[in-house]
Amino acid sequence: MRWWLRARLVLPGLVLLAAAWAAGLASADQLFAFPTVFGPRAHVPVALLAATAGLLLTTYGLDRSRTPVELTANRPVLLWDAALVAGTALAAVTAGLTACFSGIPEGLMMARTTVAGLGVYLVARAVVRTDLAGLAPMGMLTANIVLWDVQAFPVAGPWLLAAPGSAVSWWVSVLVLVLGLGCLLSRFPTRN
Amino acid sequence: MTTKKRWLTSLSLWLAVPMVVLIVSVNLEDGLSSTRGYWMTATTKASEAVVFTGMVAALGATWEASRLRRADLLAITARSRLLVVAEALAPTVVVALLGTLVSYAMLATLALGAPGGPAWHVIGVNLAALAGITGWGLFLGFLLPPALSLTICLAGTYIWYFVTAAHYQFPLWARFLSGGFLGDPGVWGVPDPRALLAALVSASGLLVAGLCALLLRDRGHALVAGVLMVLLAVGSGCLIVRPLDYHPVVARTGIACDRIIEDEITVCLWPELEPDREALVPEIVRQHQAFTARGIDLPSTVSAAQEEPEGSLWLPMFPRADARSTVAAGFVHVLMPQELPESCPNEKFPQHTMDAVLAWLRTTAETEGHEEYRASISARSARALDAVLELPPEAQGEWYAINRPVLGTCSPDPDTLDPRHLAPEADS
Repeated sequence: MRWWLRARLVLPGLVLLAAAWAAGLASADQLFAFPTVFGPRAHVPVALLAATAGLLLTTYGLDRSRTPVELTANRPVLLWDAALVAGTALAAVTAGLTACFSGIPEGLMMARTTVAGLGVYLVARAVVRTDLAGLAPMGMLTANIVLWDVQAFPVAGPWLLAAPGSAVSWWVSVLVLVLGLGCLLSRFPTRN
Repeated sequence: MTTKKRWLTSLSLWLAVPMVVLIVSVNLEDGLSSTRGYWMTATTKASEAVVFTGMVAALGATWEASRLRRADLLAITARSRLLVVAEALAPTVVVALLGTLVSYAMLATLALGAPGGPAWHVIGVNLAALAGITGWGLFLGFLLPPALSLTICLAGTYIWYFVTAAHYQFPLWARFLSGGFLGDPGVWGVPDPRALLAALVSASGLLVAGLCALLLRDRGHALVAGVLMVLLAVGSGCLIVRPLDYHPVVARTGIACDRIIEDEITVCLWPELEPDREALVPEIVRQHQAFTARGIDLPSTVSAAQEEPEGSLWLPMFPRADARSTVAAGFVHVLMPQELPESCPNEKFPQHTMDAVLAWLRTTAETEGHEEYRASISARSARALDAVLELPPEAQGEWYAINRPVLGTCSPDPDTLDPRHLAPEADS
């Protein structure tokens, strides 16, 4: 277990995630302008960028799997990995709900981004190289931003940029996470 | 690796299409609506594409460096390390330059036919910024594990280009360090040399960090040296741009003046305005006479430059614009206060006076849409305006002179907003 905690960078990952969340919640009212393919710039909460950046060490830790020792170990390493991902997502949702009830609705958007980011990473690592899979959460956020038609939908954008309480976007995020966990647990052939 | 394989497996090549789409989209959105007929504006606006070309260059460089690191190629090659990296970076450099070229080509359409040519020093800083961020990408790619370096690079470029320009924790001048925001100068302005220098200094630090990672064989030494170089360069850049606000533009100098003998007015125009001289000069003289006839004391020299000749009246005029509307708007602009208080307590701002004075100036100068503006102001301001317009011309100027000093202050509307005390019957 101690070996797994160190190999997965669990503690540094949680520290970075907490720091990113603190920075994101402190910047909840801050927006940055990013161009879209439809013309007008989208104004994106800095909090979403913070939530995505907070996953950096968690995904990197998960990437450090598939060593020969690990692949032949009789410990339930995959289950521990899945528990780490699910626990991180659950912690994010709890923190997001707390922030929302404290008057920061962006907390829910951050939670949704964390849930989706973890899912997208796990799905991507089953398909592409691990260094590219690490890009997936931030790439997904970027894709959401550039595909936001601000003129047609001025208030909320697609998926991660939807209103904090949008049920559809929450369902999609949870679905992606479940899909990702499925890929992780099914020992889906991964590419190094 | 064959050339074909190097290109097909280059991350930059795959990012080239989205990059070009975003550059075109941004330029269509606001680049092409910038000042026309002035090469400096076209060049600085086109330079803003560095936020996309820089992202792609940094990611491409990180990708190539992490591939070289993974293969440990630099440790076993008999060739020069610089040459190996240069070959690996070829697709990235080509894609980044392609994006830069697309942006410059699009915005050159704003200035084609204007005197002079592109601002080469701005282009130089732009290319240096691109080289700097490429160096930063190499630094990350060589020193961090591949799975970490790309993500950190992407997050870093987001912060470097977008968050520094938007987040309140960053001072307004921090955005100039990346070289992506050099202002949108009118024909009377040029980018502040301090903003250009700061971008150049920061870019040099990032580039040297990349070279440290490439040339120093010990990873620890490279990390320390690179981080120190970046801190030193970005710190120096901060010191250079600290005095600037959000608009890094200074007054342009070197304007030529012509005296118009019969009207005793001297008019100074930039070369960019010369093609419109025949339409501009009579309009300037007409507006000047209209306001002086109302008793407003204007300097006899009207200049398109902000600060020369000394004591002249600066008139902000745009090349390739309708002479009548640009001159009229220019007079209204200079006769209104140039700076307003940032915030005033409730009921402590002379809003009605502000609206009435602006409406009077617009009506007198016959600016475009002055009737619509008259219809949009409050009833109190409109009543004051109507009363002013019924006064003799000199009394109108007197009303303006009395009320004008109040506009830049936090104070309630003065009693002098009502011009009845200036009416001829009030005097008698």
